[in-house]
Amino acid sequence: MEALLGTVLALLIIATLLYPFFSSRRGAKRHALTHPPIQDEPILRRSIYREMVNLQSDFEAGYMSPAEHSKQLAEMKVAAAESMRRENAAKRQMIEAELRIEREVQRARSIALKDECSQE
Amino acid sequence: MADLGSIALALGALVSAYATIGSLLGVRAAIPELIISSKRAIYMSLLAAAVASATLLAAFLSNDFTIKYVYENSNLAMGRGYTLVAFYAANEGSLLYIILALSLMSAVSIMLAPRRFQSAMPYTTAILGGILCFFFATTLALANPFERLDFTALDGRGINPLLLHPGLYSHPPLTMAGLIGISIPFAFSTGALISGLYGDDWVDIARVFAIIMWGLLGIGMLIGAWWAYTILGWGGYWSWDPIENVALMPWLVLTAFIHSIMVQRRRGMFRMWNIALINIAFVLAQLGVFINRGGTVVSVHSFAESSLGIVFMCFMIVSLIFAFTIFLWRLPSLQSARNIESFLSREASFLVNNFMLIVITSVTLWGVVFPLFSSLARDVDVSVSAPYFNRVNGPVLLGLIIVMGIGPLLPWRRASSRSIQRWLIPPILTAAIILLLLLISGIREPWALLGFAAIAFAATSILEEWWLGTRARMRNLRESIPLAWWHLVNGNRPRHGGYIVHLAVLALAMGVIGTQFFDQRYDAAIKPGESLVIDNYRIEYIARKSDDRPDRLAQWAELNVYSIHMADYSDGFARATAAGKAGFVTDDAKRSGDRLIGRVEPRHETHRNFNMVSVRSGIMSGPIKDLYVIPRDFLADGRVSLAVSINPLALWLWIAGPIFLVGTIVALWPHPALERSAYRARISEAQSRIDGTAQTA
Repeated sequence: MEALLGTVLALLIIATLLYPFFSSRRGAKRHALTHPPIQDEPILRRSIYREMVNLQSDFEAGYMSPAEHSKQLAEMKVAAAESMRRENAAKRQMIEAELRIEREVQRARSIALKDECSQE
Repeated sequence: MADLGSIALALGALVSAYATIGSLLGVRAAIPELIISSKRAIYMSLLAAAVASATLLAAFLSNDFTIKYVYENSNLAMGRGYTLVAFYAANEGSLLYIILALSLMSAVSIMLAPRRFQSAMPYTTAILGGILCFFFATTLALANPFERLDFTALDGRGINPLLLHPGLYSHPPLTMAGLIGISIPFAFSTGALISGLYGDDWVDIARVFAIIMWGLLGIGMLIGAWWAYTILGWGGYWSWDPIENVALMPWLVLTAFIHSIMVQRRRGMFRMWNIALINIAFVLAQLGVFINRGGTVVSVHSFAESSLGIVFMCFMIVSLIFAFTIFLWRLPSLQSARNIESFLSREASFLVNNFMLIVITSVTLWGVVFPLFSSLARDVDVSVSAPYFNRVNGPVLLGLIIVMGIGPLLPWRRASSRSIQRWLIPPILTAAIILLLLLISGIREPWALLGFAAIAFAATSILEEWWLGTRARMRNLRESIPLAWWHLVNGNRPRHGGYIVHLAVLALAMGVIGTQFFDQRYDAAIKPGESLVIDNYRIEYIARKSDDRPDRLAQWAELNVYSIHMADYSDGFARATAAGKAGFVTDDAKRSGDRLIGRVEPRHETHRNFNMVSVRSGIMSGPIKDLYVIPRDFLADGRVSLAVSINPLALWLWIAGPIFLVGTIVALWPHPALERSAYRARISEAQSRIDGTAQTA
């Protein structure tokens, strides 16, 4: 009985470990190696916003002067804008890549069409 | 059941090894499937650990005495409620518990890891898998809790009687989980370093897990102190025992880390320092495992000793070399973009606080390892006891409390000396008033006076902070006092949670000063009808009771406690003072001013199977002082030998626990999604207000 339970456990573990090799979720697999900025930047900005709120609370509680607050807030805004810029650049790159692929496909189709026409 | 447990441990060792090798191969050969599969291996190691743990629990519940560990740590008479305690009562089971805790925390941390950390994740997985593999393999090969017994046993030996205490449901599991859990922030910081993520991507998750481990360790140590106070029968709660110290040291370093990590989050500074701190905490946690399990150091926590010392020492050395090799390799890339602008800034106060915490850690570490060096180098057995630690660490701890009072008053970047002077006036005034009142009341102990003044100083600075913040909100936002305070705390939970924890530390400091400097003690043997008088208590011995069971003989004394007017007993006190004693024995009839305030029943339990006596002290607690009665011996002539202490402010040691817990939870509590979505609106509103102010100016 115990040997049987042990075997079931071992099989369950092996199946779980092998599953990614037979799964079709390519995107998830790719994500294990890369970290596309499109997905990461909003998370990064959320952490900047959280710090902004902390800063804001500190300011409202009178812990710092308006000038000091503005200076620190400006630094955070620059970081957030930089993150936004990276995300947009990544988006642009992705759209360009998709367009490139689309053009390649179109070209392949037109060549195939030409070939068909020439054969006819 | 033994076979299933051993199979689960073997599978755990294999899958965690696979997690390490698979992650590294996957990232090296760019095979995403292998990386994902390795991540799943960590989840599977949790499954293996859970199956092994469930098997051991089932063996305890079914009294399977064919398993040696079950035979040695339980018997038929043991209440079912103590099964959990029996699970980690000795070395083998506690190692299995460590595996379960680490695999659970590893799985949760991997699941919660931010997506932007994904490129470093394979290395983090590999480190966690490596640590898990070591513990699985060591347990399986050298301390297997499923080892079979050589003979047939009808009943077990029973659980160690010292563990039969409610505190033992939480003290060992919290402390062990806290120590091993330091592996999580370590794995994230080192994973980030190896992958070349030099930024702050690892900070959030490492901070969360560091605070969780810090909270677990802190609460675990406090409950351990309470256990020692109530059951060990020596009247204390902290003896600077090596095992206590090896839990305290990582806690101190984590305290430094969770302060300085705020500087990295807020100002992008102290990157190098933070990674060094988390490395030190991890190595110290491994030192704790080494000393706890077969180190040469003598300790009251002997139930977890084993002959595995050399294995854990090797693991500790490997951890040390690995952690600091990676650190030194990446050191040039860890430079912070900014420097401290002024000594009068919050960053600088964190640095001073870190320095003091590291000094205390170093002093404590020296006290722990010196007997080892002495034994190895000179073949001389020495022990470093409490006076060394108190004398060296005491003044630094005092300094730390003062910094705790100054730090919150300082803003980030820099403060003007004028504003500092203005903010410091209320705390200094309060400290001076407290000092004066204590002097008037006759207290002359300089360290105690300084300690109480420092506590008053730090407490006032926190209250001042809250008052200034609350008042500002009341003025600016027209909020009522409770609402303004609530919004203030909610607005920056890490900061205000920290202040609540500071209050807990101050309560703890009060208890320590009270019990260290003002305790009184009187030992005497009294017969029924006689009373022992100490401070403003008369303790009358009523009768001796006993309960004889197959596994133990319990004896206890019924003692009535009266509150007295000390003037009614002036003769006795005069005799005691002349003899240099704190109390005296009397058989006089009670005085008219005596008032019965309760009954205590200190007891002895002689456990035959273990040839051991466990002691339960009789304690009557109050906010000002504890009456603490230890039954030394039940004598043949019917007398009972008692050691009675007055422990001033001892209750504050335990009050600190819940405050500490609340503060930790507040600091960790995440922002709700609704609040997150309102961030930008609040920020832009504030910005327009500032712009408006600037234009008006």
